[in-house]
Amino acid sequence: MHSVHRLLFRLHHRHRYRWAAFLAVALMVLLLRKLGHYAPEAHGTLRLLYAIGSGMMLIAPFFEWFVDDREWLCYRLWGVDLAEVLRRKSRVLLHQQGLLALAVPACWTALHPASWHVDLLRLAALALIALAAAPVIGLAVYPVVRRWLRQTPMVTGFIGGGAQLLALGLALLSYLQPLLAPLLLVLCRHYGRQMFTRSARALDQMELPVEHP
Amino acid sequence: MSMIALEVQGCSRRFRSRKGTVQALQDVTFQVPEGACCGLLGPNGAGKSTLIRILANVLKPDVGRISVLGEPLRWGRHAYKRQVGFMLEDLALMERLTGREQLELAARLYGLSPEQATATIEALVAPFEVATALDRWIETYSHGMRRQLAFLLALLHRPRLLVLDEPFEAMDAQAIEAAITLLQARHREGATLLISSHCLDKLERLCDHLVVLHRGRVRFAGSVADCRDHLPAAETLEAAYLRWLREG
Repeated sequence: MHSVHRLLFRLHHRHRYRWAAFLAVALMVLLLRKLGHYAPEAHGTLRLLYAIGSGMMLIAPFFEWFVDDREWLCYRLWGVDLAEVLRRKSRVLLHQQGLLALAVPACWTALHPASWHVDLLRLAALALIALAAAPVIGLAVYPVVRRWLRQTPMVTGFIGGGAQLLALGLALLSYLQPLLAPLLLVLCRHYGRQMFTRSARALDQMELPVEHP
Repeated sequence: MSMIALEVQGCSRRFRSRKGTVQALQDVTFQVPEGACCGLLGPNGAGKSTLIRILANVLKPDVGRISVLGEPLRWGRHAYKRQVGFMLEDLALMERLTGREQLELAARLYGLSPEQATATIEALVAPFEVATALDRWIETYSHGMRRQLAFLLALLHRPRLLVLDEPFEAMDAQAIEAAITLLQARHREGATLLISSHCLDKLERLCDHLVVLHRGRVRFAGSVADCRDHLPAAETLEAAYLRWLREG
């Protein structure tokens, strides 16, 4: 018998193609290294591109909490406390994305041994803030996105995309100035606690999409 | 005097779309006593599935009051489902889990211990064909197997009230027999059942109460014995049902 955490991890692990993300990180680092070889003066820009690409990969899954109607219907029919499910899912996604976050600085420093001491700290700060900010912002916009999902997919895309850019902006801020990371972490933790309950309440109040007769 | 397990009073629901407006339910009122097995009967489009979605609190009625196991149903509150098992027309299944994982997840979220969950799952699935496919992903299941799994999920936590929408649809004869046996056992143990179907023959075997819906309105609500008493001597339930439908 598996734990709830393990079962939710399997649900997302199978869905998310984690190995494809690992492969994408490795390919991206190889490509940027090659580009850096031909244009050494652009090395700083390439590092930033790597940070943006890695940040997006870490952030994206947190914006897909219950896009699957059937999964959402399950929790509603079982009458489980949705705030508790959101908490569990956030831990599962942190676990899953945390593994990818380890690969982000590891790949870069392995292929750029000359600047590893600079990059390690910056990329660790980026990964930490991306993982901390994404669940909070993801949960904050999720009920709004959900409400608009069936009516106006374009508006949903704008809201979701804007929120992802905000999370990426915070992550990049910590990349450019790693000392900001502890402050951002405290803020994310503070707002994250309220967000689980608020979002769960908003989701509980929604009608589930059904086929009309 | 027996308690009322389910009470629906003046429930209406209308759907609006670009094509027009459909009055799915209109002033639906009925009661199901505790311990009863009630059949919800009606042709396609009668409003059975809409009513069950409203009971499951996934759809909001325009007007009306509902109470489940003595508690008024409030929009946005879902804790009552710990005592109620639902099987909806839209199957609540997670395609990327195996059948066993889905049952385990539901059992653990219902608060069953690992030992209880294992024992319950093994006992429940044994008579069904889905038992042979429990370690396959649900997305590979046939429609009949999905419905078997959804049916078993509704029974997993031994609910006091079971609300099932077309539970026998797409099941093979063996699975239907197993499902009826299981439902009869739960009924004997004191559970209240509300089973929607448009097949009177299966409901006649199980039910002691009937609610007949037609075009969103209640055509008959009461015990099967009452229903028979009001029929002409030679008329069977099925013949009366078909006559009601013809008369509209």
